Amino acid sequence: MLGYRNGDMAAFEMLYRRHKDPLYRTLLRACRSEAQAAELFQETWAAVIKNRATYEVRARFTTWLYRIAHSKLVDGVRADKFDTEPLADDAPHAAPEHRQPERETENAHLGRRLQAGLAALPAEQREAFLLKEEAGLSLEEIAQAMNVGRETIKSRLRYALAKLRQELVDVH
Amino acid sequence: MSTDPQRPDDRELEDFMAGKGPVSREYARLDQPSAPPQLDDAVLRMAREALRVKPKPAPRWRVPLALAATLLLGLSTTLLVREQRGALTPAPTAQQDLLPMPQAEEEPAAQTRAAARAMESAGAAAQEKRKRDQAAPAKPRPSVGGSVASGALKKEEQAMPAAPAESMPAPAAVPQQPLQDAPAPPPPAPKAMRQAPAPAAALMAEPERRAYREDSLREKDQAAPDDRADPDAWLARVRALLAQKQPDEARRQLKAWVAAYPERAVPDDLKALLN
Repeated sequence: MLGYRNGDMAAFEMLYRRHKDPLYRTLLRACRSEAQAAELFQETWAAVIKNRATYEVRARFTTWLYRIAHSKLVDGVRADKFDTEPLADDAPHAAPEHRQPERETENAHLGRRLQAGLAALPAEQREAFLLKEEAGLSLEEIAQAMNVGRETIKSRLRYALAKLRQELVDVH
Repeated sequence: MSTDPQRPDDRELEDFMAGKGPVSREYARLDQPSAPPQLDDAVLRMAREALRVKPKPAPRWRVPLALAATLLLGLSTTLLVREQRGALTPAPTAQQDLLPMPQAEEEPAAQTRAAARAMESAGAAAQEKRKRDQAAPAKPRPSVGGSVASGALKKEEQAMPAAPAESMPAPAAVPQQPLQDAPAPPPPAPKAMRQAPAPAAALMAEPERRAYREDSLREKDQAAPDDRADPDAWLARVRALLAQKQPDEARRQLKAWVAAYPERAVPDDLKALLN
């Protein structure tokens, strides 16, 4: 990021390619809509580009990036742009339409249940889970990105894991 | 791990954060969609465009500049206030705050300031003081009255030796004049007041303040060449002194008046003062 701040486009491309897919998946599974995920994705990177001059190495770039993404997600919810309310347990999962499983194996079934369980989580629990699984953030970094306390994040993750584990147990 | 599937488990959380546990394993098996290529193109285009336009310099200097300006403004204001406080303790202003004007007193503000100037310039020759007081307020007055007044003043000075200003009684005279409004002040106090009137007056005890007030009134009375130039006003001054229970001073003034205006008859109400 410092390289891009100093005008190095190649540095930005490297940064972008490292983080683009986890960010996209986080946004996709958080708002459960490809169109909305794409919009949030562009807005997030636009904010990164715009604020490159003021970027300082105070934390990992990943934390900074997902903090911006979180703020865009919250703005979208406030503007009622998309629905992040938990779905019913038996609702279809938010998998991309162009990637439907051709044969339902046990793993696929588990995966479907997990996705359903993830979609059924409250928005803040789901986001905390995704920031760990997709972005690889620590508890402190998740707390920074979501602008809440560490204990709040722990609580959210505990409840999320308990519900998701229950989804997996029910399968068996 | 807890037997109750609904109760959160710290151990499970630790495993999860370490990348272990069934949930993480199942999640890793999920389909992993990538960002569509059109999104890549859009973002990279944005990034290139941003580099073409020179970024505005981070306005980091604004905050330090604002802080420096604030400090400078505060410092300037503090210094200004201090200067004004120092300038706001002049002798005349303090005197005017302390001295009540007698009802019969028609002393204009200019004469009060003349008395204050006389007090401040301690040690000046009596004759120079008399000339200055006669010259300044006597400009609008006829010169005859001025010269007569100077003659009257000469006599007064003989009665009040060694005064730093013509209107100030000698320190020895102070104890001789009983102050009916207050106990007798200590002799050195009036002299000290004259030398540093305003600040000393502000810090004095009440008896001293009253004495200072009386002295100032007296000096004002005696440094009123305008009244001497005007016989009726002079008589009014004498009456005012009587009203203030200063018969000795009133007698002195009346005698001076008689000397200044021998052709005028002494009013009946003041004749007793001469006897």
